[in-house]
Amino acid sequence: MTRARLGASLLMLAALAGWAGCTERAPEQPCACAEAAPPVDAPLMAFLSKARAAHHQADQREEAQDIAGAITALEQITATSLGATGSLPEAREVLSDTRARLADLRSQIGKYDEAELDLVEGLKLAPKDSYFEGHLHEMRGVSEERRAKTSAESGDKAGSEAARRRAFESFEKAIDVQDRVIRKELGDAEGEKR
Amino acid sequence: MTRQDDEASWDDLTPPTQEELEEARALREALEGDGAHPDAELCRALRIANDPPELDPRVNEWLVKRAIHRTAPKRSKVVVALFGTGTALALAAGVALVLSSGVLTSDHRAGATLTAASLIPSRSTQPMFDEPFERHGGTTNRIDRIARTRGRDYRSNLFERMGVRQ
Repeated sequence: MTRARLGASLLMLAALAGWAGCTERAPEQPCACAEAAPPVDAPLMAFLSKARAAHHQADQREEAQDIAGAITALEQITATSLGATGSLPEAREVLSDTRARLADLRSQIGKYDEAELDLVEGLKLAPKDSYFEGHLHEMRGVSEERRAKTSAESGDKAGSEAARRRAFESFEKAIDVQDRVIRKELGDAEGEKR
Repeated sequence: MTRQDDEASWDDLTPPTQEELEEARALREALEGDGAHPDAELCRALRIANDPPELDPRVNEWLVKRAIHRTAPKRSKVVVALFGTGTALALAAGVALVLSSGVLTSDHRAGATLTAASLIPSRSTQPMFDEPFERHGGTTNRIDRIARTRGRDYRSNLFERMGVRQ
């Protein structure tokens, strides 16, 4: 056997051995050639615990009619530096839900532009076609409705009309998203039956 | 002890104190998701032990896959053995390559791989919710639920890493 043939054989064996290593792993635990989902770990739990505490604080502030205080409580969550934990699905979903609540609170005190920023950030984090996404669109509708009312009260008829139109479109988007989620869930249920 | 004896012994008990009544109320509220009580976790654990909730189908699927995956090292050796049917040179090269790529592992390394495969992964919380979110309120309850559920996963992972099978 020539050196060239020996080299080719070794390369082929190396490729086959690598392929065998990959195919022997469970689907949800891919080898180094693909990204594996990290386990539920302490940093994630610490973040969830912090978020939980901050939402309870916000509840107390809201009950005391202290909307600004509730916003401050929730901003503790969005200001958290998360590193790699921030890319985990649970962290993204909790953050997007927190953004939706922040938008609701800010629009209650007339901070519509800031509310919109929260909604934009929330929509970047929410999984597509999920209740989280639908809820954010709904909150945008609520915020725009409030803006329309404020504009009308201040005599800005055109601004009020534009905000009302945006509210309508946002509610429509919310309905579309929820419809898709329901269809997906029903599809999954049908698939499980089969 | 007869039922009558049982009822009589209940009547003989000292009436609960105000403090005991308040403790009971706090525990009940904690179990209903409002506030905290040091005994609430134990009560929930007892309730779940007595009447376990339905297992999330995705978690169930993952557990089945994990159980099946535990047989993987034996199959790896079979795959490696197949490579040994070639020429003597190919066998030597194959074994060397397989050993260096980690397919045929020592017990320790196999154990580490299995532990990693057995840990419950981070995943979307969407399957926890079966209806659109309320327009106002409800966020705190959702976060509570997510934290509680993932807390169970975290403890399970902790035990798995410590080598304690549940």
